[in-house]
Amino acid sequence: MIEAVRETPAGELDTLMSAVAHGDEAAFRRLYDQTSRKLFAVIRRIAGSEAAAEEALQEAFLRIWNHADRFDPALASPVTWMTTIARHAAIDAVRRGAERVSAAAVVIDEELAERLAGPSTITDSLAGRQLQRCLEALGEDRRSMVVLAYCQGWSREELSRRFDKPVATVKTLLRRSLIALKECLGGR
Amino acid sequence: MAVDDETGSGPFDDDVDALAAEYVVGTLSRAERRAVETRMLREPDMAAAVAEWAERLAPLDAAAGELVPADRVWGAIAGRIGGDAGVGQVIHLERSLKRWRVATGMVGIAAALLAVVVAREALAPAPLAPATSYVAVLGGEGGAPAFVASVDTGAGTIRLRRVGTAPPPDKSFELWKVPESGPTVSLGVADSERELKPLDVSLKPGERLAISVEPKGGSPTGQATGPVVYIGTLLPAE
Repeated sequence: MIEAVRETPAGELDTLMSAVAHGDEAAFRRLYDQTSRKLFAVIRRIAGSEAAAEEALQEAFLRIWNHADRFDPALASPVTWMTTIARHAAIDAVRRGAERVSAAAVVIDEELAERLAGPSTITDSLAGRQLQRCLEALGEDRRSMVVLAYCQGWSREELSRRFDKPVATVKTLLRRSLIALKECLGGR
Repeated sequence: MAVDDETGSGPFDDDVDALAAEYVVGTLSRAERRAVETRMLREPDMAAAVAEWAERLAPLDAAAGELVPADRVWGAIAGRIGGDAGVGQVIHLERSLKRWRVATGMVGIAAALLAVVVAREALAPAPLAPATSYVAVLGGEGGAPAFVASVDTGAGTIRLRRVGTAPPPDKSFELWKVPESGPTVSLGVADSERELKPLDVSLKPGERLAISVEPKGGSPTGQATGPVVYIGTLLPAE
């Protein structure tokens, strides 16, 4: 059922996105076959369970189907655009649960947090090495905040508990860290 | 904010950039995120800033690798885009709204808001079955109880109380739903003495809950990789 793994030329995904925006279901199936493994891996890092991850993946592709006409190939690559949607779907799944248990302390796996926040979370591409270098320049706590939020979907409130800082401070620190990151990367 | 001075651009631009950054990172509340999405539809600067941030942080995605989802996921998606009138109507409505917006030359805040809200509501996951409560006592060899689980499907929670020993320091306990047929489903790591977990799956009486021993942080594969040490059957609580 799944097509053989192969490289997808960047332009082909753009073509598929354009067809999907016009309601082409066959193109949507091809888009799913070529991107679902990557999106599912990204979602699984955030979602608490396999079942939640599957539901978030389903939700992500429905949003992609519904909003394909918002994709602008001049601004971002299809995979990047789809990944943002997928991460938000996963975060929604996690926070729907969190809202229900808002009174309960969120169980935070410290070791996993350390592992994710540490070095070598990133691919060895040139862009990856630059991002790694700039994340490291942020210092340990700020780097951890950015990585835990992006990779694990942690909310400001969860970061506030983990780093023992008020939520408003977390927000300020996050924003400062991100602006510093942009400057370090020679922000456009 | 201090960053205003550091970047040398106006406060409005920083607002856009900081919002876009947090949008991509994922730390905005749902309402804040919706507001950004609405602005992306009518403010090219916002759409561009979000795209730039997404590309900037994209290398962090690579470390996740790839994971093959179960075939049933595509089945569920196909079922909702094909014959499903609900989703089709949303697309139709949303595109009609866009045309209307262009045709009338209005800024279209209301239209965009409506489109987003309609889409979100139509795409929200199906509601859970009527509320039920279950309990399960999970025991191992010899039958001594190790965990007591209580499930409240109305609140969507599983409360787990460990009455046995803690996991080894370099291992995690992981809780699984064991259906009568089909694969087990992870309900998350259960290392604390008391856990209150969101319930993301449906449960039926007679199904079982199990605890396996996994690498610290939980199974890396989504299926149990270590020995199942405790198991118990779900019983209606009322």
